[in-house]
Amino acid sequence: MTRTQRPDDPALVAAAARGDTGAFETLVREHSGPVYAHALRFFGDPQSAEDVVQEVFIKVYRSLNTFDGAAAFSTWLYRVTRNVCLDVLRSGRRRPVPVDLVDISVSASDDPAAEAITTATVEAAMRALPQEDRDALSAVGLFGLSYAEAGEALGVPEGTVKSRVFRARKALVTALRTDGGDRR
Amino acid sequence: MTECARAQKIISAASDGELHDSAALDAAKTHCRSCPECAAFVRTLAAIHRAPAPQMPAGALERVVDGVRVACETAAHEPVAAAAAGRTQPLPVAVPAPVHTADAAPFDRRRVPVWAPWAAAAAVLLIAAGVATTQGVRYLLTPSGDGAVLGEAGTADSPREYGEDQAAPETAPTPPADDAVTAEQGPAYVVFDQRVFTLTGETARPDAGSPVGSVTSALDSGEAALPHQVYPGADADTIIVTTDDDQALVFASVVRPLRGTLYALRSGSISAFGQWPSLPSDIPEPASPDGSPTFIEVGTDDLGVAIFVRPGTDPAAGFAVAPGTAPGDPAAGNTGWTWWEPLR
Repeated sequence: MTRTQRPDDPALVAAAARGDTGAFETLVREHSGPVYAHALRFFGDPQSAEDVVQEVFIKVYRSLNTFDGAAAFSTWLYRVTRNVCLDVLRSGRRRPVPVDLVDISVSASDDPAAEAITTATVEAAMRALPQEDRDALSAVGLFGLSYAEAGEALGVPEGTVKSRVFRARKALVTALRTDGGDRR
Repeated sequence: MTECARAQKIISAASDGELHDSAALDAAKTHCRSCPECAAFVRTLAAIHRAPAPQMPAGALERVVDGVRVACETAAHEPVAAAAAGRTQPLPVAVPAPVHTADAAPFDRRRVPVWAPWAAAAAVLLIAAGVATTQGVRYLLTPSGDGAVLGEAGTADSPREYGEDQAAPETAPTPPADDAVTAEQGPAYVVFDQRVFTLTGETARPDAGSPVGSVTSALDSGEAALPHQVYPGADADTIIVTTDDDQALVFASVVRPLRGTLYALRSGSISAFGQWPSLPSDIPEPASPDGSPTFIEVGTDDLGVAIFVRPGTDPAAGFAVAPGTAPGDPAAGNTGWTWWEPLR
């Protein structure tokens, strides 16, 4: 899991809000990874994901003065990222690339952990998840939010996040297992 | 809940650092060691964790950083639109006019606080406008409404420091504020090498080197258009135009971003400030309001503005923008189509 909250985020946000462009560029560089990964899982298209990253940070930039620090920067960033993806989808500017289930196939093995489960395979399985489960897993796994923070960002109880994350992981494990185990 | 499901949930939560009951975790581990199904779950989960998240392709981050920078620069115009929409904005503060210094070094760019003349105009009009920066990529942007130029002479939270030792001739023309731009009168544009440049409000002091050409314009004189020598600016996207009264005015290329790349506005001739750009002579004027069949819409630029291309061509080579763009857009107010090509 990638924890994206950094101790110097509040200082960088404050400096960026005062007009320190170097601080804002640092925020962009340090936090663009999870934004890109979330968008790629959402749209399945690198160009769309890149466009989303840009749009997200433009929105963040324009809203810096409204960020009060009550929540972690990564929580705010996750919320903006999720909203931008949904807005882009609603506007019809981008449409998700359909998931090809063939991409998920992995070779048989008695020990799945012993073989290389590639990023591409995992990502294909990620994209096949229901959106609400994928959103919860993204908040926790990519943006490093706690269950409570993810619940706040998604507007659901902490326990719901926990359930969605587990459901997503269970589905991923089922999709990626090749040892003849249970695929329920 | 079965013992397997309970153990797997505990393992899942623990992998997120969300489990604080060590006894429950120990029990789950014990179960997983003896249960093939749960052991496989743990192994596969670990393998998934080891798979790195997708990374941005090489170059993508730099494109994003550049694109954000340019788009945020354009956003510096937005307070004008906000004021027009009736939203409350802080009133600008009048500032003293900078004083010209006589000992300027050759080609030493004397940066005028670009927000100063704009703010003064806005104060007169009682329009709450942050001030627009120019369109050049050399500028790093401040949050919209601040209006200070960063990266060269100060920070956005100390804008009044600009005037102290960075003076400009008092008589330098003032670029029109966005709120003053109407359908009847365009901005302070000149055309050089078919590219449109806008007056920045800055001055430079050329004394060495050779001019790289000339622009023919009446500027703001209201008289006949005359040639004015052009010198290279400090950046690739700026030029310096000398005037009859020995001023050296800095103009910046008018640009818009597409996929993180800047595209410059091309135009036919513009013989005075206030004239709008037109389509270059090699680009046909569309006969219909939607541009068809001369142009076809192919998407939007990074500002969300629809872009059009000639059939069978790639927008990367050049694209058109229809009239009627929103306030704050680089082509806002223009009643005609505009044409944009990659910034060289």
